[in-house]
Amino acid sequence: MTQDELVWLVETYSSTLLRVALTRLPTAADAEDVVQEVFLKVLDRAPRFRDGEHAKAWLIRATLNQASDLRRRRRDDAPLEETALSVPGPSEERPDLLSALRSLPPAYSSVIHLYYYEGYSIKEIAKLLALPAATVGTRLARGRRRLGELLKEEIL
Amino acid sequence: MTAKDYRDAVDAVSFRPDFVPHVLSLLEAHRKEPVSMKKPALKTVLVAAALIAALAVTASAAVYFLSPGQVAREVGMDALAQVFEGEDAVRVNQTETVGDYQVTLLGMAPGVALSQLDDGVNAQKTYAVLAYTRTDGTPIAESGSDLTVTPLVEGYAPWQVNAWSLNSFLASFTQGGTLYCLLECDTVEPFADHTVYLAVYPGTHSVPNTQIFSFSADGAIAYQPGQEGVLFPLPLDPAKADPAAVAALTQEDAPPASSAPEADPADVQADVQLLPR
Repeated sequence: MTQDELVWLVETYSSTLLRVALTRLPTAADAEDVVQEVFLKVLDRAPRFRDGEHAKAWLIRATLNQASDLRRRRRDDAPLEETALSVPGPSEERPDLLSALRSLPPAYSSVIHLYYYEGYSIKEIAKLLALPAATVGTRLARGRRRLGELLKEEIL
Repeated sequence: MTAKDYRDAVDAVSFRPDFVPHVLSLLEAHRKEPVSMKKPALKTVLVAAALIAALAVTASAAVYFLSPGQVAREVGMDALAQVFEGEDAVRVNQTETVGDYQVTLLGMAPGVALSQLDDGVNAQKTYAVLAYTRTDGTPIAESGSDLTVTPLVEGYAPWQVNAWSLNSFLASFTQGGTLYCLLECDTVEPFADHTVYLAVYPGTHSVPNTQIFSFSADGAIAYQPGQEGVLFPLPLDPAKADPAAVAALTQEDAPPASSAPEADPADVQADVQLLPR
């Protein structure tokens, strides 16, 4: 991969990837760390992309994987009581929107984000995440339902 | 919550304003680092790899290669490396010449559930690992090659079922003058009642077409006369064939009629309604 291609990837996709990472991580700094790591992987592995869409799909998946890894490491390191508190329960007060999103299974939160923020169709998300469209649709519906329960309001 | 509420909540999170220049300077610094600083354990890995490869190499191979598991590990896919080291993977070690390259199909894992590799994803994938060396023995330094790699299936036109329709990714790196490639694509196991090939031929991202391949009425695939390339038959278990999955796949990949409207997600399950954004 040439220097120009790498610069183009960073300039074009950083904003999208930072926000994708936020669906699994609690702070902007965490998201920045993860996206930075993803671009370092691109430099080291030099994957060959067919076009911009191919690159974007690879980067989104790599970001979600990297964010999950970080979250898993944090969970493994955290004391038990802290881990339990990080998931809002039914008796707690209404969590803010992003906290509620992060408490969903990762499979749901990433689909909700790509649909509501990035504006992708179900078929486009299916391509990006290498999933059947029916699975994406189901995750979107279930994620939306669970998010509504957490926020105690209807999700339109 | 509306879509606007969601976008507002996400946009309210502020990132460092110099994130892009910060990453670019970091990448530049990383690019200039000596290899030994980037991967401190590399020499140890190489020594171990050479020893293992020396034991595992076939009589026909002239050079020692990393194993498919070691290649997966090198590109950071440790879970996949374990798959390659398990009983579901197949070691092939078949070498053919394509132009200036000796191309060796080291091995493959025909049907890997991505849920094994990444929570939140449940697609089935096929992975194949290739090693390229130059026929004249000069080491390869660049991390890419001017060869195209694509699965092809007898009975299906090369321009219908290929790396592009199967959503393939290719990661590559060089080590010891050998270029290693790890190909990921949607699983080819549903096609296992047909002969499935891994085609390697000259050209960078060269989409299969009628100038490269012939496709006869009985479904046989061959290179056109004068076209260089190799077709590695992939060892698949015919019991894994799934004609219904193939029908869905090939129907989905068929180009839409030009007059057809933009397709709605008609294949979405009945409990899903179209959601306003």
